[in-house]
Amino acid sequence: MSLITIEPRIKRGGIIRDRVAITSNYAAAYAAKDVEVDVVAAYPITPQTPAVEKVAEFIANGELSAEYIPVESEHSALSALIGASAAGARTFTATSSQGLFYMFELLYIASGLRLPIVMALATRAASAPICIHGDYQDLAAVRDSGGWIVMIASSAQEVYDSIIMAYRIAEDSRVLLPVMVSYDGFLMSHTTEPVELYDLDAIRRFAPKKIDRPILDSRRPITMGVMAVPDWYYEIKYQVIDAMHNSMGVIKEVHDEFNKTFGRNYRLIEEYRIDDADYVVITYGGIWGNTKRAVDIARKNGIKAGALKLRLFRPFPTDDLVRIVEGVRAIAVIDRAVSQEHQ
Amino acid sequence: MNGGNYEIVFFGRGGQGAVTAAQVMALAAVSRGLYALAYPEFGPERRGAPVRSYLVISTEPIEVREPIEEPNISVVFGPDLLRVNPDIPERTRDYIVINSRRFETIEPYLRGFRGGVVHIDAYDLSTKHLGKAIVNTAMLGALLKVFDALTVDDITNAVLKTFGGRLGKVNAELVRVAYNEARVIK
Repeated sequence: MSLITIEPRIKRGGIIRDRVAITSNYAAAYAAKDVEVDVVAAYPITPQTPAVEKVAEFIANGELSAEYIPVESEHSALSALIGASAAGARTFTATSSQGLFYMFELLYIASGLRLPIVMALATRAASAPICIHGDYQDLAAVRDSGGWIVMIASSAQEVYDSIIMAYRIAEDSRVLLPVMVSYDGFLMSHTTEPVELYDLDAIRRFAPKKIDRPILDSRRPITMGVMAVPDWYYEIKYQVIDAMHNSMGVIKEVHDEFNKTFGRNYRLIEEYRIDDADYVVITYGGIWGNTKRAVDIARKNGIKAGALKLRLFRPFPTDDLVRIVEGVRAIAVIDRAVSQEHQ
Repeated sequence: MNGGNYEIVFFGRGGQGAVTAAQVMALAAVSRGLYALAYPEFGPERRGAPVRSYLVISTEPIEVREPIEEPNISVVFGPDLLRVNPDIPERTRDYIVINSRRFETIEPYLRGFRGGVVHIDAYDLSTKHLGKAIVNTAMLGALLKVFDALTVDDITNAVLKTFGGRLGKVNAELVRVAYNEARVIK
């Protein structure tokens, strides 16, 4: 019996430097390497661990010139990055579930200090009972964590691409907010799939290291993290809200430029068979392909179904979403996190 | 779901390398310009516990992430796993690739199976080449007997890349030897 007729279709040369088979965890690590981060601080937690192990390997074998700080907890991981980022470093970490919860108070400090830290989140259930599997309870818990931009990827390629974009967005002087790039624990974090890696010069041109913000520098001393009376507290937090609003335009800009440079087609909300749809499923993350398959099956059965994928979760693309679903008869939401009060 | 996809399930026990086997195949396929998805069925696995890992290979992008219920090929790392997963013959479409010391001992379990069978004594070959009975690379050699979308060279290259150094070399050699030793029963 003949199995598969192969038509090799490797796209090499030009903007693609290699086509590899890696997990979403490794895709996150490759992105951190390719944007040449300066400082990584991390603490292992399933299912994220292989991401930071891979970064450590890149540093150990000389492929990435960065400082790796093997801290004693996630609280320390984000604390170390806050210090490094305040001093002007490009920083990276990854975590999951309890690790994210242990970082919680630092999330507000990172955004309040307007530090462009980028973090990968391999999403995972929240204990108790102890469960290492992938849902989005951890991300849901930090939904309003004081000004982190949050993207959710659906493939390892999208993880790699989103982290490259994340640095451009975070470091933009109109934004200066930390960014989280999340993906399904196990369903994506441990699934091996094709990823196209880009030419390093093209990545450097797309996300150049430039410091467009105040940093800690002993030659030009400033103070960060000061005490603020309510008047000033209000001012500073209001600026974070402003930056979050402004980020929407910047995120769109960066997506457009990324698509043009690297030949992709990312949107803040991805649409599938939506034009004449009566019923729309809204979801995110690694089940996007399954959702599209479900839409195809529904269509075959005479149901005018369509689907939407939220790629950007914070800031929430409310206006775009409302416009897209205008006039549909019903919407089904697959949210892989539970709000215990509202079910 | 089995459109243009070719589906393989690896049945092993924790520590035998079933997860790595699927990853090596995915790497080989992607290096050849194909699409692949390799994913283990994960839990807090212990050494020796039954595990399975899934592999989909296609000429088109693979979008759906789901367990494989009816694989084209089941690669079974030991005869005991036929007892643990008695529905393998019923669910497998085309081939069962199985490791056991003697074919006679597993024959009764495969009586109802209508597809082809590849038999290999991977314990013996792995012990000879690696000094221990980690059978995953030997099983890949046997799998190639009936999976002709990838060549022995494709797999040995992926093995060298995955394991590196001396471990890569002995495992690549083992793939080749296993390919020659494996017997297609029917």
